[in-house]
Amino acid sequence: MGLVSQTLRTVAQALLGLRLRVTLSCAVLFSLGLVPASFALNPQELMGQFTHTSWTAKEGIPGPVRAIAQSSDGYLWLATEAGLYRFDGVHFVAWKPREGEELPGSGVTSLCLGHDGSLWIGFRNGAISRFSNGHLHNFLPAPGSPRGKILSMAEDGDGVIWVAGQYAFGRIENGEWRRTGADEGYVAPAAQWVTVDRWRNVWVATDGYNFGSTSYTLRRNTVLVLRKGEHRFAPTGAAVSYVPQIAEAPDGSIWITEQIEPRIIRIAAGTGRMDSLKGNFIWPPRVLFDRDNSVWVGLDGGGLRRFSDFRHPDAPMIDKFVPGEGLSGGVIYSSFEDREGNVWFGTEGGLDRFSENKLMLLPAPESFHPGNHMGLNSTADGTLWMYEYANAGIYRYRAEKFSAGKWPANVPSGRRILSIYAEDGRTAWLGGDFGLAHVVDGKISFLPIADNLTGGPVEAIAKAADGSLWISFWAADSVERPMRLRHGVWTDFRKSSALPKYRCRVLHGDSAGRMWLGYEDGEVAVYENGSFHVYSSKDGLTGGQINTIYEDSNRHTWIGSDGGVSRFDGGRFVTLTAKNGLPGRSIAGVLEDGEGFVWLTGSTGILRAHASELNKAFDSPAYVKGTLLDAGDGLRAMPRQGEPLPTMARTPDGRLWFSTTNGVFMLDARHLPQNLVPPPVAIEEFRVDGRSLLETDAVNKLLRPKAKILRFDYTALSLTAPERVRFRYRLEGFDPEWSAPVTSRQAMYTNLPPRDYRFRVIACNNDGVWNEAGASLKFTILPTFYQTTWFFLICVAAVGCLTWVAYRRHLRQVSARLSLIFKERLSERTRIARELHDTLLQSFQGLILHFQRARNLLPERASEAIQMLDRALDGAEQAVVEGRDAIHDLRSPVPAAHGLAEEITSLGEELIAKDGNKDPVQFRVVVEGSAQTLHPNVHIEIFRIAREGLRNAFNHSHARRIETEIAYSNNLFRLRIRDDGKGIDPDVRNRAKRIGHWGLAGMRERAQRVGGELEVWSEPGAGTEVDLRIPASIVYETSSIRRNHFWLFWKKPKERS
Amino acid sequence: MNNTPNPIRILLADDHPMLRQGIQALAADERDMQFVAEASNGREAIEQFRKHRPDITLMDLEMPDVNGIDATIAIRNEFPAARIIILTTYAGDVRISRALKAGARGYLLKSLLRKELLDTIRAVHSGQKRIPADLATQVADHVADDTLTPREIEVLRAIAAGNANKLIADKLSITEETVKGHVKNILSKLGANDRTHAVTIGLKRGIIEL
Repeated sequence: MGLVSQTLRTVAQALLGLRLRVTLSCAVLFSLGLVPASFALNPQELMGQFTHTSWTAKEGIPGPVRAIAQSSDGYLWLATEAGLYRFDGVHFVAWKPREGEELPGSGVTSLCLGHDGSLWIGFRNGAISRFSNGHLHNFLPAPGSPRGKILSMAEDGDGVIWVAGQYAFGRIENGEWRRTGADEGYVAPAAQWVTVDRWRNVWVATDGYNFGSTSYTLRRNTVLVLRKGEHRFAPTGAAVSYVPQIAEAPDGSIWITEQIEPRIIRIAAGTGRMDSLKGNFIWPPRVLFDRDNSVWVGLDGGGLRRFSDFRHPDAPMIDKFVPGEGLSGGVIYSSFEDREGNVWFGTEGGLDRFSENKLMLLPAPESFHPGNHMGLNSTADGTLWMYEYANAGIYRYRAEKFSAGKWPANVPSGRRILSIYAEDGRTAWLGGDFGLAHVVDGKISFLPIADNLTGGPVEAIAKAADGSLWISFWAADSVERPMRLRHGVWTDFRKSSALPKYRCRVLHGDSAGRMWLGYEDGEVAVYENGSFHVYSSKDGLTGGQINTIYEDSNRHTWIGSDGGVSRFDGGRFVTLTAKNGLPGRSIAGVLEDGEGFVWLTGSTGILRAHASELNKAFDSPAYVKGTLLDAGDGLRAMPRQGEPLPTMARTPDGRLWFSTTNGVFMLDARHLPQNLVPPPVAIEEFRVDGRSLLETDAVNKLLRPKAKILRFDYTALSLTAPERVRFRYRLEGFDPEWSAPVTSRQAMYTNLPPRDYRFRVIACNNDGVWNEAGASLKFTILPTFYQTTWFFLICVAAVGCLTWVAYRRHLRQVSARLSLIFKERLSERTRIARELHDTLLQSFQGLILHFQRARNLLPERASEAIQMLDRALDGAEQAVVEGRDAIHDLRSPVPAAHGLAEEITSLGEELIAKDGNKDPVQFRVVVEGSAQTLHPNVHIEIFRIAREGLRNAFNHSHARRIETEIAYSNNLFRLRIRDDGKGIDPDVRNRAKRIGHWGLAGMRERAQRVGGELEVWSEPGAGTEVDLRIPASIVYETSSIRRNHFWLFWKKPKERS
Repeated sequence: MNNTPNPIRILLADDHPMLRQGIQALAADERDMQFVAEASNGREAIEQFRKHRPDITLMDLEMPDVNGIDATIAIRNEFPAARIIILTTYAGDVRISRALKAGARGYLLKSLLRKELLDTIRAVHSGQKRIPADLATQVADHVADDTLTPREIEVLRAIAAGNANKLIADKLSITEETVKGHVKNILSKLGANDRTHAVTIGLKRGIIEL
């Protein structure tokens, strides 16, 4: 009892304000025998319904975890002494507000989620923060008015946050802290816990004053309630000591947990009737009601207890978790149920999660060796027969109870059972190394086989539709004999039929009266109407050992074998393998669950697929979409493989049973727990070349040009089994489609071209429920100057301008050519007109006058008239010569490759002839280089220049020798006319130029017109040289420059000469 | 050879010898006419006039060096009483007007020499002005017309020489725009359709010469 007095002293200290949690007391009271015997553990009741995961400081969460909350975006928030932590199921993040904002303290003691989505954070130092829309707002205690540690916060639905503090009770209303005092019926200086129920009544456990409810010194406190619509707190009449929690049960009743003298006070909803659960609980600081109405009780040391129904607190406890069995700590500080139904507890050591399993381990009796290979057989009365392959043990399980012990005692141990055919819960046929046996109500009798065949095991037993019993017997002579017992007569089919000479371990009688025999070499024999038909891999089977034969509700026969599953279509087998999504290479079991799904057990797990999915795959080989159950669903072992024993059974209650490497697992196919909550998806980080950009407020994130590495960190807030969450992501603007489902929570992109992008990510939870909306992030990679649209436009404009300039230039050239032609024609006309006027016209007019004179003289003065006419004739001849010369000037040469030299030669000859000199001038034409065809216009001008030059030389130079040199070189055309005459008088040259007469000036003008240049060198007495040079690009018809560039682009002006 | 006491003393200025011979031959039998000198250009004509003081000067318009108009002006400046008959191949009101302004008393187309030369010489010598009727009509037709300014005539002459606006602008030291303005005025004043037409009209009316 000394221990008790120590406890009382401790409590007294606590009441004095030294609130020490007395862990020691727990063990003390436990030891005092306050725990009723009915709470003793019954191992057979523990079904492993939950998968328990725990995290400690090693995984990143330092305890104690004093409060747990889940924000609307799916994150779990954890209040610890080391600060506020955020958890996405995978990573713990020591949370910090954004730049410029600060948490007002380090130790976080309570959390509360407001209806508007804001998270209220209570600190050890009395500060309160509100985190809403990404911003933190702090409510600091006023100087001189401490609030103490914030123990509890609750929202009343009107946006009012009630706060229970170590030194204060009050509320935050309209952004203002307000202490609740005596004017509202609250005279206590502080509060221990506050909660708001579904009717918005505010329940508060006072601290430091009992309002006279009791004279009992330990219970100095009470619980008050502010009913909705009222303005004063009213007493409930509960006298309490230390209250760690006030909770509302699913039925609306208020549960007040009390420590020191441990009990739970219940206040019924509506009636307000108060009762006390006493003695049934040990030191219960924390309760949690889950969605299955079970109640979890967290202890102050000693871990967790779970009771099946909160309405029946006397019902037996069904789960117990203690620190030694993987719980992160023994003191349960906080409890929480998340949106997906997972139950969380915060302990002094960390965080624990309990998520419901689909599969549960069947608790087996002691003798049931979990490592043994177990065959399963179920009967219509709901009995599950189990037999151990190696240990020769038989068990029957019905109505949650094992009914019998081991193998009947009259069979020596060490024998092996190879097969069982159960007729009902009481009767079965057994086959094994002992031969054939019949069991009825535990009594066994051995049956002789025809001709007293002995020495080998009976390896398979089945009944056909006609009631005959078939066995497969490996006789002493090592011959497999399929035998039939009908009406007391044995038939040995080995004698009469050509059957495979291998072991037959699987027999199956179908509803059509056929008997199926499965051999270990992969062949299948079917007995029908008195004869066998044998199928092999040629008929579509896998060729691997036959493990199971099953007939489904549509009377299709399925064969499970080492290699896959095959279905008989009446003539052939169609096979699916691991490539089609089956759980492993070998299929040991096939079963329908009556809910439309087919279950296949394989070496890597259990596949549940809808029958229509499999039908599709059988019709045309496809990937079977289904759910693979494995460790994440509670299957802590793999389905049995190897021996062709039945490894899967279905009882009429809808439960499926699986034989595994570690015992028998069960699931309820009719109430398969499914997580239907699509996981919220969040993009947690966006880094560009190592720099975080997520927190920038810009609506459109503009990335500098040439951003190299883009990294997206994302997560999905499915807290049940985060390791089974799958993501698909897509960068719109780059990825044509979604990525394949991945587990990775990061995506990287490098060297993206400048453009607008949207990163999208979607996720599915552990049961394949997708959140198709997902999360997205828009951003833009800015172009460098040469990637911008305006730069492109400038380029286009520049090209346009150049084209325009070129076009203008071309136009100018064309118009220059045209104007050249125009000018040339005008000058030509002018010249013709002048020539006509100066020569022919004047001569004719003169002649007319002569004729008139002659007319006047006739007839009297005939001789004078004759003289006159003679003169006139002379004049006429002269006029003809003048006219011929004029015409000569107008004549155009014909361009040809060799034409120029020839033309000049003949021109020279003509001039020599005309000269009529007794001493003819020596004239020659020299050609250098290979003659090229000249551009026609240029050709004409060159010829005219040459003619003018030669005429000058012939008429004026008095030369003895005249030479014309034509040089065709690659880049220049050159024509030179030399004479050894008297040279040109400089005066003549100047004058000729001045009056614009055709002559040197004209030649020079012509030369310039075709783009060439002309120089005249002359010294009196030393002869004259005229030198014409024209660039090849202009003069040659075949010039490559023209052909390749100009002529393609610029239209050749029409010839006008 | 001439027995008339006071024959009409004639100076013949023409650059073409055949024509000079023809005219002299035509008037060879006229006793009242006497060719006292010949000239083959304007400069010679002025010199010969000073030397011989002829009663009548037959002056060709288109002569090298100094043309007929300039020679006429020069002679008339020096000898206001000089009676000069212009000989030309072409009609054209402007040309005629210019000749008359320069002080010519007669105007004779070369195509009409055979029939009108002698009468014209005598008429002018007797103090009359003599212009063929159809030429007089031509002049009258254009009296009311806008006359081209000297700058416009320069421009037209440049056009006739085959120059483009830009070149004309360079030559006349004015802007191309101004040239365009002149061309526009020229086309409008002459009623021409285009530049070539303007040149043709200019030549026909004697505004410019070849």
